[in-house]
Amino acid sequence: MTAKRLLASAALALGLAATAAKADPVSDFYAGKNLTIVIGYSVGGGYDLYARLLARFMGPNMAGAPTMIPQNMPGAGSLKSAMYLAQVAPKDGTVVATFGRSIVLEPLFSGAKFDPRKFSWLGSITKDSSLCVSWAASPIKTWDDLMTKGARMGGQAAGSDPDVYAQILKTLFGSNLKLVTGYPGNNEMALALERGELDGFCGLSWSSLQSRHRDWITDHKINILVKASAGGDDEIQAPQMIDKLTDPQKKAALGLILSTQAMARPYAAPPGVSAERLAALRAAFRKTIDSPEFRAEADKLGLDVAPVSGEEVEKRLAEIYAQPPEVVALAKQAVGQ
Amino acid sequence: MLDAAWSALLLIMDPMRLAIMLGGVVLGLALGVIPGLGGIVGLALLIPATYHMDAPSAFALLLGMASVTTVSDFIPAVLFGVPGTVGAAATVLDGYPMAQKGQAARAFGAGYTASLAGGVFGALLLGLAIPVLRPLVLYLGSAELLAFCLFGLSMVAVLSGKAPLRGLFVACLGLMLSMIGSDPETGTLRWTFDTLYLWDHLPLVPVTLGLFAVPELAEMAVRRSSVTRADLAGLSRSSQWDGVRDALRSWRLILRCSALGALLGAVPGIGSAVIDWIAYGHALQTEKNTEGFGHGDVRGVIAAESSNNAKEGGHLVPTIAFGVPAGASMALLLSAFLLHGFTPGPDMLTKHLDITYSIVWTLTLSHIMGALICLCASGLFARFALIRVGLLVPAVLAIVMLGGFDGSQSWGDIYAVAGFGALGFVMKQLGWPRPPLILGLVLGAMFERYLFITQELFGWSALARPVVAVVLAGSLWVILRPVLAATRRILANRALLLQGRGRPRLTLSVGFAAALLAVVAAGLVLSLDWPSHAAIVPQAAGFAALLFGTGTLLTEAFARKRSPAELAGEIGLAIRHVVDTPASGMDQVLGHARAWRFFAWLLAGVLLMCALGLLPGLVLAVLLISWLEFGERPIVALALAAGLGLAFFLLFDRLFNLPWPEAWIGDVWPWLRDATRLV
Repeated sequence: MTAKRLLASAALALGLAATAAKADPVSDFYAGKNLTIVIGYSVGGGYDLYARLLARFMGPNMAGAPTMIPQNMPGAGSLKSAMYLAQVAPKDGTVVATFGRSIVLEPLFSGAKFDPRKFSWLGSITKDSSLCVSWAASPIKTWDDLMTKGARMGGQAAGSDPDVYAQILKTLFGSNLKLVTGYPGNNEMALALERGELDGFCGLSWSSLQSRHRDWITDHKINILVKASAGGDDEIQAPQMIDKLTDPQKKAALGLILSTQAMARPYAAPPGVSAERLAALRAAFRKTIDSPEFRAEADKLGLDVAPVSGEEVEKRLAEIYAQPPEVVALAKQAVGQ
Repeated sequence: MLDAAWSALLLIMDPMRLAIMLGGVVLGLALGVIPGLGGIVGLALLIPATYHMDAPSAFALLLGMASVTTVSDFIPAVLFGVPGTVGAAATVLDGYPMAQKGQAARAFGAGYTASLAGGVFGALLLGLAIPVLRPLVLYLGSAELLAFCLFGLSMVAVLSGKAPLRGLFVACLGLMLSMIGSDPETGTLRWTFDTLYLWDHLPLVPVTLGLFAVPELAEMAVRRSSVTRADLAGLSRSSQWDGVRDALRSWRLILRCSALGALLGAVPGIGSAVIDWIAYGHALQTEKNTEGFGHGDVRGVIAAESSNNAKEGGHLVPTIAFGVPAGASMALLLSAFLLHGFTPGPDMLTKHLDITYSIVWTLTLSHIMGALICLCASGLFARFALIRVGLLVPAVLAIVMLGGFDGSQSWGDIYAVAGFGALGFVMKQLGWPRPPLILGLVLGAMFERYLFITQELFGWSALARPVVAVVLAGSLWVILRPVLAATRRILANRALLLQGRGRPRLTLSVGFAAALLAVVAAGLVLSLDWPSHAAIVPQAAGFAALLFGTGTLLTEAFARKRSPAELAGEIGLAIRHVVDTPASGMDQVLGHARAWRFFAWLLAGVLLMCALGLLPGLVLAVLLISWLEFGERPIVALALAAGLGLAFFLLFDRLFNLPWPEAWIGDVWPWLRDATRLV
């Protein structure tokens, strides 16, 4: 054991002793308890991978070192878990949930009965960018091609990312692309691309491109036609979708949709968790994400990490919900709902 | 290539890895036996445990587990008529009657041999196909997938026995059921009745368990016995060898069904729930002397089991070559690949060829291990069938309920098991074929997706694609053969048919057909205000259902009254009328009363669960049913309920971290919910 590690463990032991001596009520509460992370999707997807990674490392960083339990609760595109968080989950701070980034728009778009602003937000593990890509062999190679050449773009279902972004291109930008919807998932669309059945598809997140299809970038198998994000993704060589708009109303509508990209892997506790426990949860969440072990493991799995604080998520949500009704209506129309 | 295969074999023959694989196999066998649980649960459980293993060991564990659940799912199917996974439903049809005839050992022998042969065949095919995997999979476009769907649906014609109208009617109902949920084209919520549960479509596991497991349990409750006892006593190795010999004699059937299973397994979306039925239909169509199918013909078991185990190798094809999982368990496996630093795709066939071959070897070895373990242990398994009915029925029913609940972890799953259980029981008693419902339900949604994509991308030119043309021609042959035969028969017996035609008769079957027609009509009315793209396929299915349903109704009402012997021949694939033709010494009134009471208890159980929480309600229901319905001593019933409750709690709560659904009692006393998380 090196001197540095010895020192560190001594400090840790001291710290532990200090917490024990102080008899912090938050630590006391969590000690020996389970802290459940409810995952709105089934095992194996991106949201699940992130949540299980968090669950592996967050326990020791949390006051009282509770046992972390990942629990899958798939249903209705993760709306089920959001509703569970809003209406059923205990409000004592022993349950945290993660769900789809665009679930926070559901109350605006489809009238789902919960208020995401009331959630006790821990924050998001990362930001993300949504891309429209085309296969290298396809005649669609640039943004202008995408607008004018009748590109055959794949889709999965109304409301899914590929469909939403293709609809945005049609309604806000007047693209003449042809949306071929019904593919069961991203993998099947990737296969259709390779077969030449499709020119491309939208709604491919930068993070899954990195982890699943890195060869697409390194071997120049695809063209990235456009990126759509809430900023902070200068490493992606593609035009930013919102910069292509001039009309302020349309810009506001697209901005509303894109702001969810800033909470790409969101985590929240139920409404009404006490301020001290929420503060402890937020601190542990951030400490875990910033820890070298977490970063190393995320890197191994090809998962992007760019934490967003709970406060920032709250701010974004306040902005979204302050938009005038006509902007909301335009956004709703743009995504095809 | 041979080098890679050889070095992969050395890799996997490492004693430590073999031990890990054996562990996986044992767990997989255990999961396969429990109805509703299978490879998916096992993978979710094991993947986190492989974080610190090297890749070949991890895959040895995961694949060893996942590939043998279809070996052991056969055991409850034979002993209790309860399929262990959705892939064993077709096995019930002949395996369970064999057990009732005292041939459980023979069924075991034949089933494991077929499983082993199928599993090895699938692995072999995967191994041989590796060099041509990518072009092969790239050749299958959306139009081809649509053609495969139609081929699967065409099997309805064979699986309906000699009641084609009923079969077509039921298949259309299945199609309609598959359309429940959010529509892929427009996002319209079709027939969801404002529930989140139906939003995601009806999950397959509770429906399969309801349709195939609950009716057998109800019949057990009526008969008050499980499998004929005397015969089980004679369960010896020798009769097991008879089964092995049966399977070896049918090697051609095994080869054909394995090939079918492996090929269909490679098609994403066509899962184990239909592959066994398609193979069963194939056996029915190509074998000679098929009158015994559905009454305990060993070839039915062999066909279903070999196809179902060959499927695993096929499933791996698109997963390895392209990273496109062919089913839910493969999607999980994919995440394990990524976890261990392998991106499925071209690299797996070049740079990581040794890993790919180690997967092939794992598949082969684990099937051998699984089959050998099962062959040696079947005597032990068979003892389960000797358990008294008063303990067996409540316990298995509780396991079926929880297994169904694992489908999507909602109350809806519980209602689905009970509802489809009642439906399945009525269908079975009246001689209506159930397999077409499953085929329609599984293939319907896929059919709709690829229909729109194909129409959008290819239009009619899709028919000119060679694979499409061949598969569609095959489907036509499957449909037309029985139809032509039936037409010939009708023409020959014209005179007979006209006899006795006159006043309509009101039978139970007529009433049942009328009730189903009313449901179809109500569904059609509800679909009127959907956008046209969302409505077109469900309405087409609905109108076809109306057509075939009316046809069924009229034939049933005006048909000549037939003798029971004729009826038995006509029903073919289905069905032993337990209630109407009771075992000796039991009168019909008692049989009917017991059947009614069984479903009343089922309803009471569901209500108890809704009120007191799923687990407490289930335990209480087991106690009450065992004690009051079957007359077990209270202390025995209590011990059973407590033991099951503890086992369920440890398994589902502690190990699987299942979220328990909210019950009434938790709404009334929220502190109870927060304290226990059970209600």
